Amino acid sequence: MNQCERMRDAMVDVAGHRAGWTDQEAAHLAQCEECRAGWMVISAAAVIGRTLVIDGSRVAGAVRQRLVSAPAIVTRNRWARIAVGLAAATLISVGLTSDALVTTARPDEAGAVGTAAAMFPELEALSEPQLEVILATVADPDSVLHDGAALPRLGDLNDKQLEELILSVEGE
Amino acid sequence: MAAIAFDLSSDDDLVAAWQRGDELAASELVQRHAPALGRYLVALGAATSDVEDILQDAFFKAFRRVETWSGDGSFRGWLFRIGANVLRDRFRGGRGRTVLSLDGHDVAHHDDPAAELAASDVEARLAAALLRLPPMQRAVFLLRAQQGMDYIETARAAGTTPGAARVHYHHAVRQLKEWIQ
Repeated sequence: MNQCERMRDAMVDVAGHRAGWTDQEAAHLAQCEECRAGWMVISAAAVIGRTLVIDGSRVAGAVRQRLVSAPAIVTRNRWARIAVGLAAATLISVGLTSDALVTTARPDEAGAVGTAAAMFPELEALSEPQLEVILATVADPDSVLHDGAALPRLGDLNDKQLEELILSVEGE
Repeated sequence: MAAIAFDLSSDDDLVAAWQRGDELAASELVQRHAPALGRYLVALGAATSDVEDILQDAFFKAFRRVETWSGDGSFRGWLFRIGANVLRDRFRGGRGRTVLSLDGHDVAHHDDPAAELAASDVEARLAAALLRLPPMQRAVFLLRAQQGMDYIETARAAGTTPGAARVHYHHAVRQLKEWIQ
C-alpha cells in the first residue's frame, strides 16, 4: 500500500472527526494533488445530507404501531419449533409409553437428542425414547408411529388449532 | 429489575431486549440509527420527502425479521442493507425518485434554509455525481466515506466481500474526483 492509498483510508477517519492528520500525512497532502482531490471528495461525502432532519421519535412511534398491528410472522425457525411442538402434542395425545418405543438411542443420535432438549426446554419432561421419536419426526415428516397411525400434519389443522399450537409452543 | 440505560446499551443488548418484548429497546434503536440511515438513503437517491416512510419500512422489516440477523456482523450494517433494499424495491415499483441529472441537481427540502444555502458547491456536485456511479460503487463509497464504516462492515452492508468493497471504493473515489473537479 503506497502513501496515497494510506491517505485515502486515513481521510475517512479525519473527515468523520475520529482522527487527525499526522505530520507525515499533512506534509503529503500539501504536496500531492491527487490526494487533495481525494480529500475534497471524501470530506464532502462525510457531511452530505447533514442538514436532513429526521424525527426519530415519530419514526419510532410509527414503527411500533405497525409492529403491534401486524400479524405474527412465521419464520423457518418458528415452523421447526411448531413441528416439534406438534410431534410432542401428538405423543402426549396418543398416550405413548416408553415400552412401545425404541428403548436405546444410537450413540450418534444421543447428542442430537440432547441438543433438541436444550433447544426446546419444554420437552425436557419427555424420556429419551420419546425425544428420539420427535427427532425422527422432525427430520422425516413422513414417518409414522409404530401402530401405523400417521402423525397429523400442519395442513390437517384448522386456523384455530394452528394458532393454539403456535401459542403453546411459543408461550405467547 | 433495574431499568436498562438504553443510551449506554450496545445494539446487541437492545436487540436482545427487543426480542424479550421490550418495545422501548426498539424505539431506542430507531432513534439511534434513523438519522444516519436517512442521510445514507438520501445520498443513494431517495427523495427527502420519502425518507421517513422508507425508514419506517426498513425498521419494520428489520424488527420483524430480527431472528434472521446472525449477530455475526453489526446490527447497523444489517440495517443499512435492509434500508437499501427497501429503497431499491421502491425504485422498482416506481415510487422512488428518478435519477438526477448533473445540471438539474434536485435541491432537497430541508427544515433549515440557511444550512441549505451554506452547503458547499462541492457537496452539491458530489451529490449529483454520486448518482452517476454504478449502484454498488455508490453504496460502498457512502458506507465508507459518509458513514465511516470499515471495509468489513461496509461489505456486509453492501452485500459484497471486504476485498471487493476496497476495489469498489477505489474506483468510486477515482471516478468522483474526475467528475467533480
